[in-house]
Amino acid sequence: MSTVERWGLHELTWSGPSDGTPFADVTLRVAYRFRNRVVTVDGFYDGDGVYRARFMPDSEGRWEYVTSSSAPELDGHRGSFECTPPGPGNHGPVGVHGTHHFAYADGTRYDCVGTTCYHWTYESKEIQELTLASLRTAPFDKVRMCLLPTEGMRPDRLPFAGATPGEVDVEVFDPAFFRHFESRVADLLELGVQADLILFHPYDRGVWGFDRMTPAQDEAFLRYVVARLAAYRNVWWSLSNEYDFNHEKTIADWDRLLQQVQRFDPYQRLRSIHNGTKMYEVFSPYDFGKPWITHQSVQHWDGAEVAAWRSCPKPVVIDEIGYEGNAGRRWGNLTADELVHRFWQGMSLGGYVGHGESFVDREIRAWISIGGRLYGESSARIAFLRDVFAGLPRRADGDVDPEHCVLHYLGDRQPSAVDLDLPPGNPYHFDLIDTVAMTITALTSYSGSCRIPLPARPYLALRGTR
Amino acid sequence: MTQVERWGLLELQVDGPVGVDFHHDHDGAYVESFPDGGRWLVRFMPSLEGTWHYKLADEAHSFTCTHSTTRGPVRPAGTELRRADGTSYHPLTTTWFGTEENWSEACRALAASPFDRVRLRVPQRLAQLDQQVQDLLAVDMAAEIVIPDDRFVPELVNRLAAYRNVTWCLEPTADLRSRAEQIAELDSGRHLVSAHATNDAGVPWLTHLSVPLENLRGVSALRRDYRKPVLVDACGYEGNGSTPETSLTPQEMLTRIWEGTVRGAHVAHGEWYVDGEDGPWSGGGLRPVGVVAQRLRLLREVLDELPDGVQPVDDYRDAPTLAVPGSYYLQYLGEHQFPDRTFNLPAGTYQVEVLDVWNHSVRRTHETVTDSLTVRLPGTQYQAIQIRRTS
Repeated sequence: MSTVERWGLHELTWSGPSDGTPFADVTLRVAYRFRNRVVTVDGFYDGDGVYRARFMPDSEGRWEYVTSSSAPELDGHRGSFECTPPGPGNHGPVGVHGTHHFAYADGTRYDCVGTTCYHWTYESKEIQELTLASLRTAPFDKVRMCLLPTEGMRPDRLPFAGATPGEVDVEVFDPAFFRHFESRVADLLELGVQADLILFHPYDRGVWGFDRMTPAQDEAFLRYVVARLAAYRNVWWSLSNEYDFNHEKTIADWDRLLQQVQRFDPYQRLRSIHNGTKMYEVFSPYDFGKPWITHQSVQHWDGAEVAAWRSCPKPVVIDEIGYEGNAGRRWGNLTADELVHRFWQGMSLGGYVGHGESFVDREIRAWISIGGRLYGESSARIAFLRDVFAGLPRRADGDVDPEHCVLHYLGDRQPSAVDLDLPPGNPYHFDLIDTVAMTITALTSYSGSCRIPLPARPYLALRGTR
Repeated sequence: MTQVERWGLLELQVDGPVGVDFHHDHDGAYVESFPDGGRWLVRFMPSLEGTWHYKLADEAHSFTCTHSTTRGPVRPAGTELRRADGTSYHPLTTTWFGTEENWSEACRALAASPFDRVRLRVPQRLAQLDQQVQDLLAVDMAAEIVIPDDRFVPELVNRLAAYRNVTWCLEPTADLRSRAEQIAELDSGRHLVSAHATNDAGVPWLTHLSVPLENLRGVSALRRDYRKPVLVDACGYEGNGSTPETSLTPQEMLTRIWEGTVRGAHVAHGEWYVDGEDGPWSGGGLRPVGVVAQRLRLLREVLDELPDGVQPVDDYRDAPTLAVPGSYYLQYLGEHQFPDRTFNLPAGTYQVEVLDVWNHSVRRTHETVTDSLTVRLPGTQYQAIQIRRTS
């Protein structure tokens, strides 16, 4: 009997009809059964008369499946496989842990330190390989990446058939595009990196027309994408980047599209939608309280806002907080000091922050658009930050445990001392963390109301543990 | 060979805790044993006719599943509920959260009521719940088992899953997913699973919505957003309790149930008159003493006669309407005192009924229609119009 490890990928392949438009004409569903629990997934047409179904088993033991299809040759296929224990490094998919945090399915904490490479899969093979090599040593465990090209791009292949604006058939998908895209999602999985897939974006402006498809076309697209990609355990859904910059769609449209993704997705991958911003005049995040949203994917340039957003009982991820670089736009020309400062600010308040780089005068322009090489200084400091946060004592709900740990990030100020009022009980052993020099220096112990002297320079943090 | 009818009950005595795989050419199921007094039992409800095979202590066994004399358990089908044989299902539910001593009298009251489904809370002794479910099965009623926490789950499901008349309703907790999936794993009857008042009913491990809802107009948005069957577990209680929820007038209670029903939901009844010697019906009293339980007989008759495929339609925005367009309409006018209502209908003849929901009266006429029909109304509250094409 064939075997698949827990949270691995089981794929089935059949031959079926290739005439007409199989994407629209043929329905294929596969019901997988473990004991009495049934998980039903959509199969999909992969071109040339080939149909596939992908499935991620989540329980060890025997799974049986049976197909149902509008095409007789795809209907009633049965089989089984054995789901084995997960292999090394396989912690399962990431889900919400407690209220404001994340964990893998096996309980391991997920750090959630993401970055952005919007269109890296559209680049040359060399740049794609370079991006993967960069990610291999970078501290990032999530990449935000787009499925659809922008108005200015002229790639050879798209999710849809055709590659010339005005001549694309949005009701016919390009399986070869998806096969390549999926291989890159699988590459990220191999690196232990989550693929935060951005399904729509507003940077089309009608050139391709993907920002203004009909509701039926949107639904068919989402159904096809979910059928192909949901079984990869590192997939997250971001319904749109800067959703509010797309004036062709309303909140009611986004509600419906999010609900559709929820309905199509048998695993309930993490699901959100990311707002645009015209700092500081416009800030209109989607209502993250809506039930089909799993976490708050925010664009905002102030990490201190995390405290307010935690009133919504879902994890806060500031996926865009500004980028390190020297671009001609204000979102892309922060110093490393400033970007890393924002990381510390947001994360010490119990949120998560995403990285990006936008250097426009280097060999490869620019990480947030195409990946390639990291030129900035922030990623090394973020690696340091990630280690610090991963090591903090936490309560069962994922929040830092104040009984055992206090963390004070002192920001861009330069105090000569701070006064702390520590929880009663045993003293805390303090360390001074220099977030720029990436050093941790042991101080002494303090308890109760105390004054801790400091070297009077910015970007320091105090960590007390007991 | 042993014979069990389709959706009937096979019960086997086994040596202890075991998991048994049942196989059929076109289906399979897994059943775990449960302790019952001094013995261990396995219960299984076959879903298909034909030969079923299973192994006990390495010995092969089989039995024959014969033609059903019932319509089987309930399954979700889009936004509807259907019986496993494909026929439509329009339950009328009441709530009885009582204890053992009042059960036999309450069960007699249920059998004589317009209700065919009751929400039950898990009592201390699961054997008692078992008896309640059997008693209900005997009078062709369904039991919704409200499961407060996971203390009961393996035994509860192993014991009751083979009864075709059960559904599961979880109280939402942080580990809702794993609890719902555990039930699905053990539940060889593949019964409905919901979570009362969960903040996300869209997840695939919940078959339908179980909602508390006081404004029943909200049903339409829930059906649109979730595309699942909507069961309103609690819209309030007719009674004279000390809270706003337990002191609804009978008129208000009745109109809520009609409003939600005609918007495509299944709305549960509840009653909370505190002055009877046995306490409120929904708290475990001996019998419903209110007005609504009686007046729902009219709704019961309407539900029994609903044509297959009836759905809420948007054509009449100012009044909820169920229809099979062109052949059947059921419109509910609630607290509004319309003088008349006009329907655009295909040419034909129709039976037209004006139902006075509150006074439990029906005025029936037969009308020949060329393109539209205006139905005169008494100009009072709580009227419904039912139109059925006759030719």
